[in-house]
Amino acid sequence: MSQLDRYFDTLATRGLPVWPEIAVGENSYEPGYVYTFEAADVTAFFGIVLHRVADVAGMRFALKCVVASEDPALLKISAPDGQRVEGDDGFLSTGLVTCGSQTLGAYREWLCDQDGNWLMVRRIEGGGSVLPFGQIVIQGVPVVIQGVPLVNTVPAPLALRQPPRPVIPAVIVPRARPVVPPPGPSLPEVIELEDAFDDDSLMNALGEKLRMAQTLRAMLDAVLYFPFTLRTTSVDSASFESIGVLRLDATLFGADFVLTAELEVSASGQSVELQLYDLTAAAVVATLTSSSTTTENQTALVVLPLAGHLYDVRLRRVGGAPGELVSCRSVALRR
Amino acid sequence: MGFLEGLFEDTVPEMPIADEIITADAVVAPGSLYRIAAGDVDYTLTMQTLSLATVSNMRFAVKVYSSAESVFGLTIVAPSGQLLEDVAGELVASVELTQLVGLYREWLCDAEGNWMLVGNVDPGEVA
Repeated sequence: MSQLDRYFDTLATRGLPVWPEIAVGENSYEPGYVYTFEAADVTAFFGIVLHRVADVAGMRFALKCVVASEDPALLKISAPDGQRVEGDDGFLSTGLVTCGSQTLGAYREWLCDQDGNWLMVRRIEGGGSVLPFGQIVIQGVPVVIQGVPLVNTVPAPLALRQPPRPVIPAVIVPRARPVVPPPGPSLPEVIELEDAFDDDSLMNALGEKLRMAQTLRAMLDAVLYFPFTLRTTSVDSASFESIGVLRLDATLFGADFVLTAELEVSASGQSVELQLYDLTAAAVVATLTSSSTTTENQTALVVLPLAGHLYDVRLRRVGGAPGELVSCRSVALRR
Repeated sequence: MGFLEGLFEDTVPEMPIADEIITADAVVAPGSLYRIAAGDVDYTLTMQTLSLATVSNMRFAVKVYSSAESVFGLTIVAPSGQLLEDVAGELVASVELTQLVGLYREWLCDAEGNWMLVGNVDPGEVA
């Protein structure tokens, strides 16, 4: 059995996490944590929050004094309703019990049994310096100015302030073995394969084989379709009203695009105009028109600048009467 | 993070607490905390012998949690071939304690079968 066997398992189940903030004042605290506190010259009262015994059986609760007081007072703890807690005298009590004084370094830890008794299982008396934490001392003499101790305000050790971090078990796995070619006759350094597509008809004027480029272009053409996001599809305004925008950089695709739109009007005698407007350049790019009362595809070739521009599609009713809508069901730029 | 979130998940009990409460001499299996109800006779607890591979890293603890009129003795006998550490740091075959209410001892077994004392509460005067 290795020395490390179960090492991490043990760690993972040993730790009682430290609550990330220093406990202050008379309060009730959740079990399952170590609570750090500052000593004071008045009795400190800690209560354990009530939970069902079934939930807290086997759970711990601990207190640790991390900041000293010149005149530390008593430390008291109370059990949750219906449960009992052990004091320093070893007796279980349903009320308040004394568990030492608030001496720097004092530590008490309780473990709850199946009957709701919080049994004391760790006890350290502390008894360290009674000087305030960080008290500045020169040649053994604490520095006090007008009765106020001069204290370095560096916070308490970080380990006591950081939230508990989970222990991640480590597993050592075998190093991957290199692939070794099987023994046998020596292999050639390269394998020659015949190019079944070596066809001069695929060569361009410069002698370059185009089949791959053409295949890629066909694939790209299939996806070079840039629809506008429309906020509405119908208007009855006689002046152009913006219905959607699209930002497009034609650099990667080339300047030549087709503006394609599905247009219709609601009544005979009126028409719809769709305008592609370059907001970046502040210029009209193209206009499509339809007078069809059924959806009709209209297209126009457009040349776009090879830069990122924001385009607007605008719609208006020509003829007809207010309230009679004209529509653009979809509009896109495609290659 | 909510105050109660993960509360019970990250507080895995370090050591189970045996259901039985000791009120007389007994043979007990390591790996648990045994509660002892103090009586008017001496108690002897004999730890069950298990293989080293099984008990390595295992814990064992006793807690006297109810009092008697008088304080009697409590002897913990180590498993056969293994040793227990007493409060003086000596490895011995058995440890003499008392049934003083509040008393607590906890041991952790190393790979050689030595039960090292890692928890020790002696009830005393309130500070």
